[in-house]
Amino acid sequence: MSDVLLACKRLTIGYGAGPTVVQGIDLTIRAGECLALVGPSGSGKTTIARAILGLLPPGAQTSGSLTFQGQDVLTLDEAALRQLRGRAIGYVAQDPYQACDPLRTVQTHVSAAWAVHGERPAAGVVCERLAQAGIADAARAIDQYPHQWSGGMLQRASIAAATAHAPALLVADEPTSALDTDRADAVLATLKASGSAVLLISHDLGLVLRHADRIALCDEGRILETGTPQALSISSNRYVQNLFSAVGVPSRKGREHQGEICLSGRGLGMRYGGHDAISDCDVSVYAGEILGITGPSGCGKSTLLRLLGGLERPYAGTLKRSVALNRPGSIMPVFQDPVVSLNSRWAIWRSLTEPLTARHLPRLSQKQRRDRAAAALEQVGLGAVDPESLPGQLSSGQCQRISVARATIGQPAIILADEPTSALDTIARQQVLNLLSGAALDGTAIVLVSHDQHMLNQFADRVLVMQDGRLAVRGPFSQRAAVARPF
Amino acid sequence: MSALDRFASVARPPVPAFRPNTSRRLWPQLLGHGGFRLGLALCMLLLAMAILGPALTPFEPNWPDYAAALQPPGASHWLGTDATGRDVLSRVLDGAHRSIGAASLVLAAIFGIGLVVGTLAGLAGGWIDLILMRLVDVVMTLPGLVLAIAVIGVLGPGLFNLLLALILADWAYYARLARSLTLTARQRPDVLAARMAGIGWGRILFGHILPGVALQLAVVATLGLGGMIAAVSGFSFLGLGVQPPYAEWGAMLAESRFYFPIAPWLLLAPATLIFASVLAANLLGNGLRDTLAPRGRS
Repeated sequence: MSDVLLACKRLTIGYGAGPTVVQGIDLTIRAGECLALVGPSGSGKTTIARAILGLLPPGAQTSGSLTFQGQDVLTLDEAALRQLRGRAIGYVAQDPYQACDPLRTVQTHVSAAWAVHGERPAAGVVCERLAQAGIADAARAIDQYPHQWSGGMLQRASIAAATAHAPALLVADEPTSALDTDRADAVLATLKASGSAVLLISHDLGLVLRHADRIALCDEGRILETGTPQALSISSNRYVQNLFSAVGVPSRKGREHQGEICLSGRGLGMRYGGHDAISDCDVSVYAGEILGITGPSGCGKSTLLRLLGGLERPYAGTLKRSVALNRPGSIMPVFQDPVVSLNSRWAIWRSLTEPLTARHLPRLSQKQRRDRAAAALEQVGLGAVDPESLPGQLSSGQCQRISVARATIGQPAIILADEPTSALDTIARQQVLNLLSGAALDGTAIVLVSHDQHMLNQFADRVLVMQDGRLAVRGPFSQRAAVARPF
Repeated sequence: MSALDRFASVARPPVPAFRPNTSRRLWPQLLGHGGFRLGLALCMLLLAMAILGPALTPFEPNWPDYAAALQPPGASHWLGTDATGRDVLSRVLDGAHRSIGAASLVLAAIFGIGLVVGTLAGLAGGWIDLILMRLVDVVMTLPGLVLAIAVIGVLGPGLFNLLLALILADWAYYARLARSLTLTARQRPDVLAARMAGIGWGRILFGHILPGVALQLAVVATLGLGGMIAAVSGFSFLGLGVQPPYAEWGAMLAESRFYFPIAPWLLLAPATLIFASVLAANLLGNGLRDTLAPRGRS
């Protein structure tokens, strides 16, 4: 086929004596198409991207072939690769803020795409490209520094830089994982509009299904199946079926919660060093409901959770707790990073049953604690996991389920979950949401903070939207609740 | 393992870890580190010398024998004799526990004081933190060497006063470090979860915070051991530490430097041993640092 841009044939990559990261994959990218490479962390996605860019670390051993526009990238020397990068293959990094030098303006970063090839962009070209990428008022914003731009804008600027020379292929490694969902869609639209073929690497199948022309599912260094979203959705492969069924969010629409108010804050404010992190927030949490809180990064979601959880005293306003919340341990957290939220030196049974050892509770023997841990592991579907294992030996999905088990083991009245699924792959995400949903059915209120509005709209009973430290607009489900229960 | 299992994170027996954990597999990892092995062997040798040395001396280390002054290494005096005819081998063996013991003692004291002050300041916060840290600031503004010399100047030279001076000069750095490690640990999710569960501060301190802080501080202390051995020897060389006639490696260097043109062997043994102990301590420290570095957890 003449329109094949990039072809991998039995590409195998390993590092020294370590495991073989990529095991004989076959992959083709045609001109102009968007191919998504989807798989869990550690499945070899990033290694494939680095191989295409000729950026494998020293000591990597490769076999097979990786042909781009007729030349084998694996055999090219550094000078030839430099000609390829930027001109023929563009690269968009994961976190635009980390990809930019905070001391230089956005203009400098975008013009660098020309400067590295010894060229100078014609006057106004940078502005024009940024405008094409959807930046409003580019002429003014161009002299600002990266931190003054939002993540979505900055990522679009990176795309403008990556497409400066109209490369035939764009490699985008998790380009949206640092962004909110609505911005993610806009960024991916910009990426596709560039006219280049796109290799989109992601662990989020839901996002990819909305944008990719073809999807390659990979795991443990192998490509399991490649095809259009439609073809994959009717695949006979049991694993692929499972993956697709997990894309949705367990829907709770139509469920009516009849709980009482267990926690209510009025006029809550918090101030750090003269800056109002949040101000004038009215929140009430009902028993057994799932309350979603969403908003862009830095809007004060996490601060609000810290106040609700009693980790800090509000600077302004009052926080009223129902009688059920007077005992310690009645509000428990679930955090974003599953692995560090468990003590890395402790066997999981110890972390899991720690809430049972609080001062006010009767003393349990080690054996009782181990038994309780085994039962709790069974409940979150981890019955086969050895309670003696350490968090580092488990996957992040498993660790997050253990965190949920730790949060529920003391029968709390409220669980505060701060982005509990954003570090997880598709299936693990659904498992964690199911556990939280189960806890809500048992009467525990769940306050779920997330920047994924698609997920919250389906999963939460009410959604509060936060903006610049204030609970601004109420999402669709909040109106129903607000009318039903004026506070 | 099927692909489904992996993707679904379905229950499975523990697999070889992506992140080598720090507690259970620490020793195999450390012993796999070539530099650490060498450092450990050297350290054992020096430690054995410090403990057994005084019992193994072929001659009375402080007994002059003017008839045998300044003899080169030979059959009866393996490392020769000094200007007053004392056997160098005996003095080197006898001095080992003063040089190494003093450095270890100072470091243990600094480690303990730093850990207690730092974690206290980091956990208590408020005015306790304020007072302790301003005290640390005051100590840290004074150059360590000057402070140590001032303390010895006031108290007079001697091994005990030297130890006191070195402790006073160096504890503040460890306290500052322990405080910042504690502040970081306080905000760790597992600590927050324990707080919200109603676990007391004492148990949080000993269960969650102290093990990590102590381990990291211990790595720094091991890296500082070499410098401390050199400091003890250095002060004794200047005549501010161990006093004659007792043997200490730095003091031996000081005594023998006048005879260097006619009896260079006098310098060889103490200098080599100081060098070896600094090397051993640095190798151990580097090994610990490499093994416990965040790299292992990524």
